[in-house]
Amino acid sequence: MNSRQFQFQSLVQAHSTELFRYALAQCRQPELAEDLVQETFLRAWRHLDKLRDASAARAWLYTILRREQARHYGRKTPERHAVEIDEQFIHDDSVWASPERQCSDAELRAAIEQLPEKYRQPLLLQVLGGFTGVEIAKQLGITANAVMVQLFRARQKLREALVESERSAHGMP
Amino acid sequence: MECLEFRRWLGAEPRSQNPDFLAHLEICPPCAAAWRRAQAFEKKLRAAFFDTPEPSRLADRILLKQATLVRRAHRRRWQKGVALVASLILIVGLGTPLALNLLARYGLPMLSAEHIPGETMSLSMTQPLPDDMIRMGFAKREVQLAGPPPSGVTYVQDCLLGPFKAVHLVMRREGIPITVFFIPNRQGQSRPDFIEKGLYGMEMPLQHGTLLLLSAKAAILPAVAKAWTATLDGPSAETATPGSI
Repeated sequence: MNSRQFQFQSLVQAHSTELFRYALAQCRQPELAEDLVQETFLRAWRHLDKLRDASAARAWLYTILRREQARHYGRKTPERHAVEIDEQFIHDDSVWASPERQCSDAELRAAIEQLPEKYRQPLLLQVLGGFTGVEIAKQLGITANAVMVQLFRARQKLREALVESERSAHGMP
Repeated sequence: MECLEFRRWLGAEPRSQNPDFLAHLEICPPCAAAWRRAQAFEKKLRAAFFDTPEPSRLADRILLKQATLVRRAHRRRWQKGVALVASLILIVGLGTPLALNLLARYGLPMLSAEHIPGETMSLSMTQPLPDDMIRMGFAKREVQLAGPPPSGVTYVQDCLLGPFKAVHLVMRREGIPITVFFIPNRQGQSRPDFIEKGLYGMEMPLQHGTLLLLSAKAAILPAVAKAWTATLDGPSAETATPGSI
């Protein structure tokens, strides 16, 4: 096996599952998620020579995957969601007010699915990809401050959605 | 870092390792409590996705697909190579005769005029050669003369005229040298009056090749052409010679 093939095989074995989770969280269709991940790696194989820094491989693969998703949904490039920096952050910690409530994984996933893409994407990159705000900013081509605002709002909306879901489940208005 | 900034940071990046963030966590119990709640939520959030079933053998399928693509690419490259070689064979096999024919058809005057400077001493010879020697010169090119050679031939040599095998002769008329080429088995064009590199010339396709004549004087060429036509094609062919320049 040549070194290029070995490098590719290592990438596939190390990252295919996490990329699948990310893709699945985005599209909620397992078959489509698999296809997107497969296309991501095949594209990575074709351009493997461009990957000079092995430590950048994960971010590179996520970028390719996001582009594959954008291509699948008929966009030329992944959407960039510029967010105005809002100084009116919520001052309390309502996001975490009742984490002990027993929402199921399915409820959580459904709540994330309901998030607008501009909030869902950075949240998934952070939660599933483990990227920092700065790294996400680089990937999405927006400022780190904008990413932090998106992440804050993503959790805020998630919390609101879960509270709403809980109220509905208990027949509360 | 103040509490407000800490809470903002916590809402955006709960697992931050920022030193200021961590320092505030150490000194502020309410924020530390918020941080613990946030970590619990993050844990649940991660679990929601990490508990999703993994596709079976996804990595294997990707590697299989990639290996298939690599094999196809190799096959395509191999097929392209074969096609290229086949094309070259076709070009060489079909193109070379075609190119030679085109060259013979359009390039003989140029080739003949360019050949002369390489054998200038041939123009200075004045001693006529015996007929046998002239016949032998043609025989080297497997050409049998149909009649006696014209008089006054002073030079005979088997030469290459570009890519063509030719018999190169020089003869004299009125004291002026005339260069004669006969290219066996090549049919050039009928050109009764070309000028190439300052020389007047004639090109005549005969029965078994092409005759070229070059001289500094045009008027002496038609008679020479007629004589060589009789020599090469036989006396009955003399009438087929082109008119004078």
